[in-house]
Formats: sequence, C-alpha cells, structure tokens
Amino acid sequence: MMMNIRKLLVSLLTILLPMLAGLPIPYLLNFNQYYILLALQSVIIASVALAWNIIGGYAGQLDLASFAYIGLGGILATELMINYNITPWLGMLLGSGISAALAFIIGYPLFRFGIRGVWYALSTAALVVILHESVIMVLGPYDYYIPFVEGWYYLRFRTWDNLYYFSLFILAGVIFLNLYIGRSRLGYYLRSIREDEVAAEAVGIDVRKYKLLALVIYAAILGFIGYIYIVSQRTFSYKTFSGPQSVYIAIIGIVGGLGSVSGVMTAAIFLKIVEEYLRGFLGGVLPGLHLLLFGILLIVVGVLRPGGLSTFIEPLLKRTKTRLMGGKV
Amino acid sequence: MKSDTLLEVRKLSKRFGGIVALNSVDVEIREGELVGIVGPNGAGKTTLINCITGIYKPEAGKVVFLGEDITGKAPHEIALRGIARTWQKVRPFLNMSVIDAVTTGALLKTNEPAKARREAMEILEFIGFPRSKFETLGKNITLIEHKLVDLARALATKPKLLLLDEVVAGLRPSEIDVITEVVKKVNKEMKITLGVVEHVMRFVMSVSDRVIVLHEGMLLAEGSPSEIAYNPSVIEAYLGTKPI
Repeated sequence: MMMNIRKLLVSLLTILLPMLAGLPIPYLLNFNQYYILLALQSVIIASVALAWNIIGGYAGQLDLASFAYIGLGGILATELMINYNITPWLGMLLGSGISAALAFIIGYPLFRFGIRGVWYALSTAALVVILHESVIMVLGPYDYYIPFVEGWYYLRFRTWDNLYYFSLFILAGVIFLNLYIGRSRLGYYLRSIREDEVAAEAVGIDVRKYKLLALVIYAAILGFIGYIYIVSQRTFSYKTFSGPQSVYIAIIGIVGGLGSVSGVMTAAIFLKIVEEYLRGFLGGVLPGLHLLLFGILLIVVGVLRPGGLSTFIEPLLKRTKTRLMGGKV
Repeated sequence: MKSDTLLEVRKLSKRFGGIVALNSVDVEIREGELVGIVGPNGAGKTTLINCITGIYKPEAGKVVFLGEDITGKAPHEIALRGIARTWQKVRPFLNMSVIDAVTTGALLKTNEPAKARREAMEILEFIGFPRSKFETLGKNITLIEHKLVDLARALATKPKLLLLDEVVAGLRPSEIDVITEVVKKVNKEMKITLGVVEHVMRFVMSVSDRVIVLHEGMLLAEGSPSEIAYNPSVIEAYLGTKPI
C-alpha cells in the first residue's frame, strides 16, 4: 500500500516536474521578454514534438505534416477571433476538431491502401505543400499581424509571461497523454506496429485502425496548439504551412529517440536553444553558417547516438526514479 | 464434418502468376492433435499457412474454422477467432523488450496491461525462457531465443490452433531438442492444437501424431509418422527416383 502511494507520487512528479521546473524561469530570466518568448517557443516546440511522438515515435510512421495541422487549427481559431470575436478557448477546440477531421480524411485512404515507409512520409510532406498552395490560391499571399487585443478572453497579452505559463499547462497535458498512451494497450499496439506490421496483425492487432487513431490524436493536439503557435509568431499567413518546420519536428522526434518522452523533450529544448544561440552568435557574421553548424551537430548526434538522446537520458532517469522509490524498481 | 474437427481446408488453390503454389488441397486438423505438415522446398507448406491465417487470399477453396468460413478474412480477425502462428523467418519486435513483445500478444484477450504482463511472464516461464532476459531488448537476443519469443507471443493470444512455420529452421541439434520438448509441452499441457510445418524430418517425426505430406502444391500422403517414413511416393518426392 505504502509502495503504491509512493509509486503514484513519483509518476505524478514525472508529469509535474517539467512544469514545476518551468514556472520560475521568467523570474530567473529577470522577465526579459526576448528570453521568455524563446522559452515559450521552446515549450511549444516540445509540445508539438511530443505530439509527433505518438504517431512518429510510438507508431513509427514518419509523419512530415505537423504544420499542416498546426496551421489549419491555428488559422481557424485566429480567423474566428478576428472576424467573429469568438474566444480562442473555443477556437482552439474547434481547431483541434478540424485538424483531427483532416487527419482522418488523409489517414483513412493512406492506411487503407497500405501506404507506409518513405511513401507515407512523402504523402504527408505533400499535404503541407498542398495546404500552403491552396491558402495562397483562396486567400492570396497574405501575411497579417493579429490586431492587438488583450486579456485572457483572447489569450493575448502585452508581455509573454502569461502565455508562457499557459503553454506549460499544454506541455504537461501532452506529457500526460504520452505517458498514458505509452502504458496502455494502445501504446503496446502502436509500438508493435512500428516494429513489424505483419507480425502485429498476426497477433490480432487491427493495424489500420490503430495507426489512424494515433494520427487523429496527434492532429487533434496540433490543431489545439495552433493558435498559441501563431500568437507566439505574432503574424499568421500561408507561411504557417511550413514544410521545413514540419521536417524539423520529425528531426526532434528522431534525435530525441523514438517513443521516449524524456528524450524528445530534451531534444526539443536543447536544439531550440542551440539553434537560437548559433543564430544570434553567427547570424551577423555569415548568414546561414548557423544552419551548417546545426546540421553538423545533428550528424554528430546521429553517429554517436543512433538510438537518440534517450539512450543516455533514460538510464539516468531510471536510476533517479529507482532511488526515489526506495531502491526497488 | 465430424464434431472434433477444428480446422478444415477444402479444395484450396493459390497461384502466383503462372506458378500453382497450392492445387486443390484438402487438410483437416482435429481438436488436440499435433499435425506435422512436411514436403520438399516449394511444396506449398508456407503458402498453406499464409492462406489459413489470411496473409494471402486463396483463388479457390474454403478455410473453415470451428464451423465458420474464414476464407479471405483479415489476419487480425483470424487471430481474434483463435488461430495464432509463428514465422519461418522470425519477426521480432527489435526495439521492445521480450516481456513487452509477449505482453502485446496477451493484450488480445484482456484490456489491462498489468494483467497481460503477468500472463506473459507465466507463458515465458512455461516455455522455459530465461528469466534474466525478460527485460532484454529484442535486438540483443539469440536466434533460439527469438524463436521462443515468437512462440510465446503467439501463445499469449490464447489460440485454439497454433501453426508453427519451420520453427527449428537454422537451429543446432541441441537447440532442436529444446524446441521439441517445448512443442510437446504446449500440445500436452496447454492442450493447444498444433500444426507444425517443417523441413527437419527428425523433428516432425518425433513430435507429430499425424503427418501430412505436400508435394508441388498437392496433397501427396497422410498418415502416422512411421507410415509416412516408408511411403514410396514420399521417398520419391524427397529423393527422386532410382537412376536407370
């Protein structure tokens, strides 16, 4: 009994820890708005990468369409707010719904006709491009500042602190969802699909159904985050449907380690900081040099740790956890 | 159909382009039996298993399991009805631990990972998988261990019929003995009906109650292991006719 309570506390702590660690950051950064915006963007990227972890990490489908779902959900919420004064709280839920619906429409035929591996990656990459071009065709090549409104009703503020705290809640939610799925039947099924679809099917797993479920969950999270992402970028446009950014999310998921929550989170925050630092440090010297160094860094990680950052973070966490639980796993 | 018939394959045919892999094959497997299915290379043994488990859709004929026509159903639906299988070339979950792989199988009949995990442990222990390697990743175990995990994963789905596709292929004689014991134990103690497709005659002859011989996609002979061993047409199919 004591053991169980202790176990529960430790699991709760695992979810709350990133949040608790994140809370004092604005204070530590002296409320420097640039740094807080950076922290906000890191948290958003971490949330997006963890959402990707469900389809890419657990289910092993190399999805390159993350910004299709972020863009669709985010732009819907933003447009509803601007044109109809609808609160983003509702808009984000609607955005989540429309992204999930898009994922279903895209995923159903893809999985029905057994599109997998590189072909799945290419198809999803095409989805971002299609949305990018469609938005230009329908709405024109626009690039808007969101008109300034303020308050919790609009989830927009003069400073970045509140939005940063809000994003921490989203991150905690996505971490919880990841851990919950990871331990449930769905998690076992998705991982086995990643390992071998044919063998998974032979032990009674409806591969098509579970892949579709993973895709829809992933898209729903992204559709929800979309508005926060757009606000953190200050502008919204057809450029939100970004192919390179979608690839970047997949890179984080892979560098972090497929299916590893701690690995993906570390990779997201670490890469964001390194990228931003290199950009600030070298951007003025030789534009583009930071990308080259960034690329080299990725290659180094790939060579030294082909299993992802999780291969040294997870043993470390496990040891700490074992100690917390009183010496027994 | 007799009452103790578990699986009935009727006039099953499967073609790949111009090659006839199965030509109107009839097979019957009765409850509790351990049936060996043998035949030279290309006889259609694996194709037969693939047609039964839904990996391939046969061109003609029927597969009836427990009185229900399951021809052409999806593999996961067939697994749900109680037919499990292993693979000629093992299909391990390389980046999952042994216990997780078997738990995945056990989750077919229960919703709770904790319960499935306990069942998985029992099964692994039953077939004699070393306890110290339960948490080892699939990519770090040996071939015979892969074979055992494949078997445990299939057993974890609680099948009524288990089809083993060349389970001892590539193993050393001492390892074959290990598998022989496990296969007998599964049949006798777990009371699971087994269909054993095999190349290694020593193994089939020692475990089977009844042997079916396939040759060039057709049923060549059927009988007890000793009858089969001395059947002239079987010897001919395996070794060829005498030189003139």
